[in-house]
Amino acid sequence: MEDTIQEMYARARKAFREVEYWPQEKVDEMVQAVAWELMRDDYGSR
Amino acid sequence: MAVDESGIGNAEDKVNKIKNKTLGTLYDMRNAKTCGMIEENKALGIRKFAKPIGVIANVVPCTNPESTICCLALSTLKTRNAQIVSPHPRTQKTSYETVQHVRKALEKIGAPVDLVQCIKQTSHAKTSELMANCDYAVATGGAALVKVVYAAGKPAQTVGAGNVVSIVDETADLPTAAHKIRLSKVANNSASCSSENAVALYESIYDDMIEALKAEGGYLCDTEEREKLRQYMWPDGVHLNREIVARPATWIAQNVGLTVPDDTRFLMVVGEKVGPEDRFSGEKISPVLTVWKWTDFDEMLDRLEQILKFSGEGHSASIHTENDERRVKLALRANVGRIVCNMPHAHANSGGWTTGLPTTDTLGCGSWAGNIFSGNVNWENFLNYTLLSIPKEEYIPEVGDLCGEYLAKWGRD
Repeated sequence: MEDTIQEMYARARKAFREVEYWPQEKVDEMVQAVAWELMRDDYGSR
Repeated sequence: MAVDESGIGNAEDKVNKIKNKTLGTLYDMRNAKTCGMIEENKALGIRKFAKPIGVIANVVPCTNPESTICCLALSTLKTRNAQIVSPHPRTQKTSYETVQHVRKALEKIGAPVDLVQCIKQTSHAKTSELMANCDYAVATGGAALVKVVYAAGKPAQTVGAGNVVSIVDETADLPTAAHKIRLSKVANNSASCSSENAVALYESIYDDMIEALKAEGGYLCDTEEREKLRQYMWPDGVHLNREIVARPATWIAQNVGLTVPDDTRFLMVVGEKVGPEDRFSGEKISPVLTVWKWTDFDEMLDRLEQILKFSGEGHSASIHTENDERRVKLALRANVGRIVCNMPHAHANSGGWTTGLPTTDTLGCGSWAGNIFSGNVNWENFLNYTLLSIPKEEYIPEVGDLCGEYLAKWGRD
């Protein structure tokens, strides 16, 4: 991942525009996917 | 991983914290409506629409480089925002790694991975540039960071220093209170701003409570040991020695040159004065607990006000009592965002399974600490709203009706 702030912001903005009007169901699925990954047994213990 | 990278905290506590905070955040938002129309009041002709903000900068501290991302990633995703993490230089690998996990999950379901990014090689210049370019910022860090964040000129959620005093009175079950205080005090070696910095014990239970704290692994320093510890903790008399942040009590004792039992979990010192002349009255971010004694509850509340003015105003306070009048009195007097009763403070003030407080790793401390919000920062802080108004039935109130009590008492002239 490049870390020029301008480029990062541009990518973030593009990602934001993609989900800006997403419905609740898609958003909730995304939240659950991320939460599940963060709580998997193998994460954090390494 | 963060423990290896920074020397801060305790690996097992950290793993538990990540799971608990992620689960708590997920639980709090489980039924929340964050998309489209979220409220309708037909009588007023108002419909309320939730809108995202855009790109949010997330400045993450070295004392909590993973969990802060977990809570805030869920919160900003739930509200359809993108986030760019600015890690602390001491823990940037850990924060970067955490963000990779988030991105992996986004990729799996076909969501845009760039909704959560992390600066790889961080610097002050990059953090400032990020804050100036983002649409909103959330920064979990001390007073110096608050100034930098607001100087960037974007709306921002910030936090304040914690200096939690836990009051214990004669109605509390002392061994239980001591156990809860220990759990909270030694969690992650006191890396959290929510761990008790002091206990304030009622005089009639003072000796018994000290014994109860000793039974939990507390070691009470004598005057000479206290002075050695003070010189080590504040070498210049003002600034806290960063080396001691979140180190085990035995590590600190060894470096100070104190002989303590191997099972010592925290060091205790008697509080002498409030303010800069006695640094033990302020924030310590280490397993060092200041002990105060009080005889009159109102005097203790006055003293707490002074302690908080010196350090920790806006953050949190704690009390162990069965006397609800004292709890209410404390809530009316103490200028803090939350007061935790009869619970291990650090496991409750930022959310937990025996409290109704929202789960967070970012504790707003209100205007008392230069923040815009005094609550637990959560998904609700990352939305804009559009109110759609259609005409309702006209109603113009009579001023005389609205000022009725005043007019009845004072007259119309």
